[in-house]
Amino acid sequence: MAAVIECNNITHYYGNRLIYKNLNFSVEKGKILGLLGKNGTGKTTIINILNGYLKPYSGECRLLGEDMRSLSIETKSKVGLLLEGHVQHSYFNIVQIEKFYSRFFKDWKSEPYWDLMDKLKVTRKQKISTMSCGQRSQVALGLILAQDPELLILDDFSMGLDPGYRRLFVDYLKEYVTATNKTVFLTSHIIQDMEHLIDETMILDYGKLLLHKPTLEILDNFKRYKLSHDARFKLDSDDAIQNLEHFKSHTEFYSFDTIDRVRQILQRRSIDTQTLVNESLTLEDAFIGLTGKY
Amino acid sequence: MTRAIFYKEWIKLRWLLLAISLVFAGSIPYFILNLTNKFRFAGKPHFWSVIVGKDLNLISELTYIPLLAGLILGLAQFVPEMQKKSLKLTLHLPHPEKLTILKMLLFGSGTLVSIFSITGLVLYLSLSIYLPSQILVAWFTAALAWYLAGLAAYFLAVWVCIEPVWKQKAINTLLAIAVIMLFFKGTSTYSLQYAMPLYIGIILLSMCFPFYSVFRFKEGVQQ
Repeated sequence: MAAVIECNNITHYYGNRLIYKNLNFSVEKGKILGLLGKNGTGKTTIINILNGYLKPYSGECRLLGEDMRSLSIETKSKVGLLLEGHVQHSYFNIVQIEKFYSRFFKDWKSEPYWDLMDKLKVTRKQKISTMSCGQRSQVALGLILAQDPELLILDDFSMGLDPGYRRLFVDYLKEYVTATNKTVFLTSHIIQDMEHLIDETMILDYGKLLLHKPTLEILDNFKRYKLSHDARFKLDSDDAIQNLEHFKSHTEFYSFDTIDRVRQILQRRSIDTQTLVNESLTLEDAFIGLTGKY
Repeated sequence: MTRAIFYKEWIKLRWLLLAISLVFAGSIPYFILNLTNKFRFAGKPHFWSVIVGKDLNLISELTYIPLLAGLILGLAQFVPEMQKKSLKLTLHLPHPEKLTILKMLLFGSGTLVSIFSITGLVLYLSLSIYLPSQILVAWFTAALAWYLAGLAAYFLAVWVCIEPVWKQKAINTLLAIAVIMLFFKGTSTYSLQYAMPLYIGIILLSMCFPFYSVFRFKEGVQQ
């Protein structure tokens, strides 16, 4: 299947601080990819690189087959961009902003925009600058949907949204994307609701890509394991066990391996595995399990 | 798409443009009343001799008003674009980036020139009822430098505003102040007419500076 986004060997620094080295990933058509990471791991940096607003130290990205540094007008019209904080031209009201954008896109579809606007309790003359963050998020989403792009790039769409607006955003986006076979690349630092939305998960850690897998594979295979006693052991660098934590009453760790395989690993270290149990995780738990709490 | 860009700029700036227009339009009756008062108290023959003998320019109170207008308009147009970097949205429009910026600049400078020209012309025609054209030509030659300073201030304010790095912004500001000061170096009404080609050259050059800031913004220059 054709890659809508393809990034090869992206390396970037801010000053002397390495953000990532030789980052490679691609997003296939029709997929929703969520780039997750703690604050400062370079999520927005990737968005900026993808849209040509930041020249990386090295490497290249291609959007819909074109180099990110020189996107044609046709390609730009096929990419819907949501900036962090749902930024829009705040001096417009909802009628004016729709009128402005509609003149740039030949396939402009007003219906999804007005569908969303009708859900908001705002007047048609209310300026965007006087709206709440949640209301602004709906305006920004409505404009992107009206643009009818092939690719949606959403930077930290959950930022500043209360649970109601976050769910509204996710549900509306999911329904739209599923019905129209669009491709979405989104970042978020709030992971609640994500497992219902994203097909693939990429997790960034400081300086590297920690994981890129289908979300279902993570949810099915990545487990939290518990031993109901404080079993003291250390992790090897190639160990299948991750994020080991000792508590007074138990020991906790995470792994992609099956319980039988984990039992074997522990038994090789002469650790009593009679109390070993595992539990399924939400995507947020998995994220913590992979990146740690700190 | 030109109409859409102009529409956006109009919505953003219309109240400020109205305010600037009112200030310049309001200056016309002010200068006429000022002149007629002086005629009444000093007598026309005596006041004319003062104007010629002392190279008096009665519209000199206008000196820094176009500068302020250009500065405020440039900032009002591009500060909202730089807030939360919403210029990215403008540059992401399916329209050539340089052309988008050029059209924004044309809107700003075009409205500024229109306000300057229309109010300047009305002021000239109004004063020509009371004063001979030789005096008015001398006054308005000096005023042309102030109006050009306003236009230069507009482009330089945009240049500083879009620059993404604060240190460079500070350097650009100092350079812009130095350039603007050139427009106010003349001491007599007549001395500036020879500097006009230089001023026009500065304005044409300063029109290009915002494009360099946009290039740096696009590159994501941070230091």
